[in-house]
Amino acid sequence: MKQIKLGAICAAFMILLGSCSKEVSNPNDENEHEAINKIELVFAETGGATTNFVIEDPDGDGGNPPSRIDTIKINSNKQYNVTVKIYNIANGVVKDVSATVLTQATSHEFYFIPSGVSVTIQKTDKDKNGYPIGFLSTWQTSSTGNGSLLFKLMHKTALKGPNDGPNVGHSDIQLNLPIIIK
Amino acid sequence: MKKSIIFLLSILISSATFAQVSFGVKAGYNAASVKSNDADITADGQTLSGFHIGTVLNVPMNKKFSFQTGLNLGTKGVNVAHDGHGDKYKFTAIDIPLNVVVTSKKGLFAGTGLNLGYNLSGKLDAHDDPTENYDFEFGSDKNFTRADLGLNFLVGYQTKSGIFVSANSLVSLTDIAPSATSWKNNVIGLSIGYTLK
Repeated sequence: MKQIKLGAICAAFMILLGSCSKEVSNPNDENEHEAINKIELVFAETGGATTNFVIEDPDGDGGNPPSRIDTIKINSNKQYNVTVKIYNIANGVVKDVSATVLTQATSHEFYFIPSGVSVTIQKTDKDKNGYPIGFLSTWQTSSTGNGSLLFKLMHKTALKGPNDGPNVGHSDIQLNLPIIIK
Repeated sequence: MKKSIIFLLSILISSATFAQVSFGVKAGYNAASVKSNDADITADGQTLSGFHIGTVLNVPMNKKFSFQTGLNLGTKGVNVAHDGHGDKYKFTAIDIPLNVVVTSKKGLFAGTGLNLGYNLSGKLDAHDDPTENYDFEFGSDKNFTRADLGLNFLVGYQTKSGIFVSANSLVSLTDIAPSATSWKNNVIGLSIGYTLK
């Protein structure tokens, strides 16, 4: 009798061991967003002109390289207010994803990492927890030069803190953009 | 709190010299989950399958009740469904249960008590892109803290030959995320073990 009991418990144990979960996200998940395949960086020079730079990547993050990358061309010794706009384009329909990601700001953060150029970048917008987002930033340029800008949008489920590095979470956008300070 | 636990342990260890202390080993399956206020986890958090191995030290207090402790190594965390794949937030932790267990004459047993947990390591396993795997940093101003106090609930059955099967629920009382996000690791464990006579 005891052997039967133990056998039944072991059988139940093995059935539970063999079970597995399906990795399907909730279709009503308000914390998911559409693939981002168009990015617009709007540079408003203090006391000067406003210039837009566009990146188009039809298959989104990863996969094939972007079909269009504008070189960011800005002036030396100037201050800019920069706005990031992100879009999903599917079947000719353009959807602004910025508002969606903004509602999920507590798990998202942009990164701007310049290389070879002299520019100081400060994110100015914050999520409801007081942590940086990066849709809005100020850029202070100094000397002229050519270089690149690593532009990332990190999705940081449960990991976002006040001073995270750019490798926390997984990337929704990761692009190397050419930049010229003239 | 620490003084109380040390005092309790010292009484139990001293009483163990007069009682028949038994020692066992066990291993099994961990079904881990996380209680969090993070919207991703609330919407798409799923069970993370893992394992545990450990020891069991049983110190009888009288004919029915015993104090049971041990040292377990196991996995905790959560699987977050994302774009058709799972991002695994996985911890490897040591747990020391401090349970009071009641055992029937037929070998059925049940118990409850505190659990002293310690996160040895942790990582985000980004299943779609291994280059984005990320090792968690631990500290009061990092991703997570290491110490994890919880509660244990335990049921099982042991044969006279010493083989036992058990199920336990480990419910964390500690928010281990220092940021605005809350994070409590919970585990349901299923074990098979053997008590040495």
